[in-house]
Amino acid sequence: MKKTVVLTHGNDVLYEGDPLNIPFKEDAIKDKSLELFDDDDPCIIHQSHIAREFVKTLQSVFEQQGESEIHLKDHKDTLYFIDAPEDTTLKMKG
Amino acid sequence: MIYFDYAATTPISENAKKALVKTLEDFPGNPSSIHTCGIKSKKKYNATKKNVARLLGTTHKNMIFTGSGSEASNTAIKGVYHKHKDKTIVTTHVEHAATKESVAYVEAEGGDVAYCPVDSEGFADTDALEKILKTKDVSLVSIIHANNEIGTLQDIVALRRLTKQYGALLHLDMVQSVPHMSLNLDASGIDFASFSAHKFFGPRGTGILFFKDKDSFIPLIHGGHQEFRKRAGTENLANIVALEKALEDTVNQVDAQEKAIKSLGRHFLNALDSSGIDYHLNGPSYQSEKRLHNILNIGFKEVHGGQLAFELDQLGFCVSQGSACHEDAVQLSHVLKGIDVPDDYIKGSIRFSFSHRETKSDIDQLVDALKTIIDSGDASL
Repeated sequence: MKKTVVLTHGNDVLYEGDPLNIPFKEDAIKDKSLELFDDDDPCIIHQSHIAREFVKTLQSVFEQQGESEIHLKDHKDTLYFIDAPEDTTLKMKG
Repeated sequence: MIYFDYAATTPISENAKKALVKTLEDFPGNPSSIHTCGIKSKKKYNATKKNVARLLGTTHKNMIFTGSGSEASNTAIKGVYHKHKDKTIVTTHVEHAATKESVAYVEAEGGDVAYCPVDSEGFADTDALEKILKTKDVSLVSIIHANNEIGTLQDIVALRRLTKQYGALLHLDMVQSVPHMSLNLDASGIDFASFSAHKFFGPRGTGILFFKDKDSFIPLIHGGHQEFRKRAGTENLANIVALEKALEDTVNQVDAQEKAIKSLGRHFLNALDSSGIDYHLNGPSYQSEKRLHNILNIGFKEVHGGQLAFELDQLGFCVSQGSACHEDAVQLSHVLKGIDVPDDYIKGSIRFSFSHRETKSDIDQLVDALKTIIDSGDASL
């Protein structure tokens, strides 16, 4: 079953859907692109690859926690790439 | 890592690598220089070119070395266009980007381009081609001989018969063809053919353009007198010698290698059948002799091809997803769209391309990985 992610901030749902389409920080994408490809202007295919790397990191955080809900503020260094307020809650479904 | 992306590039062979290094060390002179070092390089270059030509079934006067297969195709297409600007160039919608973008350039320049339709296996519709040749004044028909995404092998005899009948030139992109068949270019009757060394275990950065008549095209690169003034620039002798060695090894071993490749391909499809994975083989049936047997483009039902390729990479398998960047969007392969791959499978299509070097154990591991990923739902649409 395809996994989905829900980002909530208070009562507001900031995002719900495919983890690959989570809002990622532009600077984080650029930095990751420099790290992986030495390229500060990645094409869309390279951006997609970077998004998958980010999602893999996010999934590993959920797996390490053993819970389906985490708080961004508890993992702000690991999940630095997510473009959401620090007190955002993330849920993984599926 | 287990490598299943030979259609993208092949690792340089040990023999080619040794030849490259030895040539760099032993032949420092510019082949155009008239002194001992230059003359030595020129002699080596000429002998090498003659042997390469012989291996392809032609003469050294009917070929030039280029910087890539793409440069070879660009030279043929743009070179003929610039000679006959008022005539039509014919191609298909399942070409490599080198041809696709060269004809796009011709169109942007105001030239006329006609597209010959292909069937659901990627074969050019020769009836439709004849209609185009009858109704338009065609200078060049440019078609990919061995399709780089789906492996379809076009019928050279039929294409040549038509182009000859209607007075058009025929260019074949044979970049994927060389490691899989023996060629006799002179006997084939074709007018141009493009090749690339790194597709047959040679070095990157060196290709070949074969031509029947050197006056039938205008060069892309002007400058010195190299390559009959058809491609200026100091010859990349080390790469050319390495190409020769790779080509020689390929030609000598082609039959045994193809036998091994077919066996691996059948094993792959049998393993997929046994796994219960829902898949669609894009392009000609595997039994067909009108296909390359080392390229298996497979659509997995309701799977995201990009994610599947990523997950395979994480598990140690290099494959190609066959999509391309286009104006900030990941586009589905124009080749798969061109042959109308069913909707349920096109987004989940992956190109697996292998060589004689892989083993059935490699294939089994690949199929196990595919089953694990697909069953997990991690690559589901």
